[in-house]
Amino acid sequence: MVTRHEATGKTAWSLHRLLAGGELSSVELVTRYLRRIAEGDGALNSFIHVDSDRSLSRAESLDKMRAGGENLHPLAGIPIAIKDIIAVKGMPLTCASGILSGFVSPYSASVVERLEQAGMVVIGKTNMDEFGMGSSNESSFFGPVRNPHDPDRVAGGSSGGSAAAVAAGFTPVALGSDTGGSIRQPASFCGVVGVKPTYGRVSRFGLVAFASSLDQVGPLTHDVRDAALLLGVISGHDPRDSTSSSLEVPDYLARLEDGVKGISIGVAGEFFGEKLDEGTRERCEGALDAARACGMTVKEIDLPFLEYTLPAYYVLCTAEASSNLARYDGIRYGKRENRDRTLDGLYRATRSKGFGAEVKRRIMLGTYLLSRGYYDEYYAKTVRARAFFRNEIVKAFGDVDLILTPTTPGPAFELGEKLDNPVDMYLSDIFTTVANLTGLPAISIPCGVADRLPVGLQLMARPFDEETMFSAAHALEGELNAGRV
Amino acid sequence: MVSREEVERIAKLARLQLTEEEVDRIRVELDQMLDFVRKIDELDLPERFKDEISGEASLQLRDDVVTDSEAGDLVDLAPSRQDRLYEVPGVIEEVK
Repeated sequence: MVTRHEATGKTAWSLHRLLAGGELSSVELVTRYLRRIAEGDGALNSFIHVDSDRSLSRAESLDKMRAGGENLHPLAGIPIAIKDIIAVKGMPLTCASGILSGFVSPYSASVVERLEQAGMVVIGKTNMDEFGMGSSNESSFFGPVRNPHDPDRVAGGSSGGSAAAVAAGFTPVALGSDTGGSIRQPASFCGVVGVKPTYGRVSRFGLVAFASSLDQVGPLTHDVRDAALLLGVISGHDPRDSTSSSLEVPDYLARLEDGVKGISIGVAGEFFGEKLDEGTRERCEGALDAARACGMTVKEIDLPFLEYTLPAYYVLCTAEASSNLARYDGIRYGKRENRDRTLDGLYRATRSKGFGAEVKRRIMLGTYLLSRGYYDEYYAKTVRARAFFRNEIVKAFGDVDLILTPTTPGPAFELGEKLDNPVDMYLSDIFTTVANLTGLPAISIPCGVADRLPVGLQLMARPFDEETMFSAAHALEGELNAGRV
Repeated sequence: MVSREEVERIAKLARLQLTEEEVDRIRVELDQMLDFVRKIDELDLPERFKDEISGEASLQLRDDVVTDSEAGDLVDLAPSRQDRLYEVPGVIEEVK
């Protein structure tokens, strides 16, 4: 079992100090991580692709730039792992699916371009649930990802590879994507920090689409400071993503130490019902004590619509996915199965062979919900319900600045435990989908362990108020780590 | 329960080819998933959310100018091609 501290468990921020101070070169740093991956990832399967040559050569050029006295970004020379649903030019882009096995991306996503411009070194692509559809990373074409805290348990999904890689010390930071909780839930299960920004904060250009009105890219890191640092780099308007916001990006790092006295945190009983795991409940209640110790106030709020968010999420995401995944037809890229020589036959054979079972299930459900006779009853109603949820959550934020919830109903479950009924797996997202449906920013931070498994707590803020979210999370993190609670 | 015909109709729309076993299994799974999402039926939306709603965001447009493709020649990615043309099964029958 790999613990955070014995691993190369250093944060990007502390690595930046070592690099800037000349105590370590980027080549040495990247070499260490590559060695750790080679030694340890066989047991976890967190990477789909590791590129030693490319990353070492990049590290070398960054060391030269530093030696030449160039003014470098704090993230320069530091490795990052990228979830395999985000395009990196010249690297495979499989989305953990058979239908894209062998596909090499001809371009890089905007977020990757920004990180590379800051001097980061992409060391590889991480494993995930196929096309982002899953909460356990058991649906990957490349096999499941195991939890570094207990290899018989899931890492969570769909960004399981990114979460496990950070937790195991294979990379200091990683990028993931979150449609219904896919960054936050694995972050919670693996004991790391995960952020889903406000919808539109980060460009989706180069993020393979699963559900376009819900998807966002975000960082997975050891601590809140690193998450703030990374989000600052990847955020901002992008003319290539028409859903990206033109709002200015604040200096998240500078605002991190903003005082939190007087910030009010809302707690809804709907998140703390009887089905919640006891250990999770205790840790989250402990976090509320930590919040009070920091000078924040805790207030009870009501979110009675919460029980409808998960079903609404599955209507919308499957409907959107059925449309987005129609492009995988074997014609212009990816795998093609051409056995019966008709066009329709080609489509059906390619897709049936290429997609895994969960993806097929969701495409089927989405297609059904959008089909004649059912469209109004399910999809159209759910779109209206979504507007209603947004309205309700705005009302809730009239009284409080943040909403605190457990990230998941319990800690990491065992591999194979939730594969009998697809709905069992979906219930894992019960606390996370509301942020995607309403576009709110949300962060999961570790808040202790229960039965030796990490527990995560979630903070949600108003749209584009990542600053309050980060400063509160940073304060809580400090209080919890100090062991005062 | 969702009928076999219904499953086959949906599979056709989704361009998926299901085996007998898969049809049987997907019937059960679709039912489980539909039972779950049906909860939306219970939600009583306030009056003003019952009609069509307009989006809050407006569509951002860019200037209609030609820009270079940043991704190079994408035809290179094709599973099957002839020169710069995608090769596909015939879709037009010969008129005799």
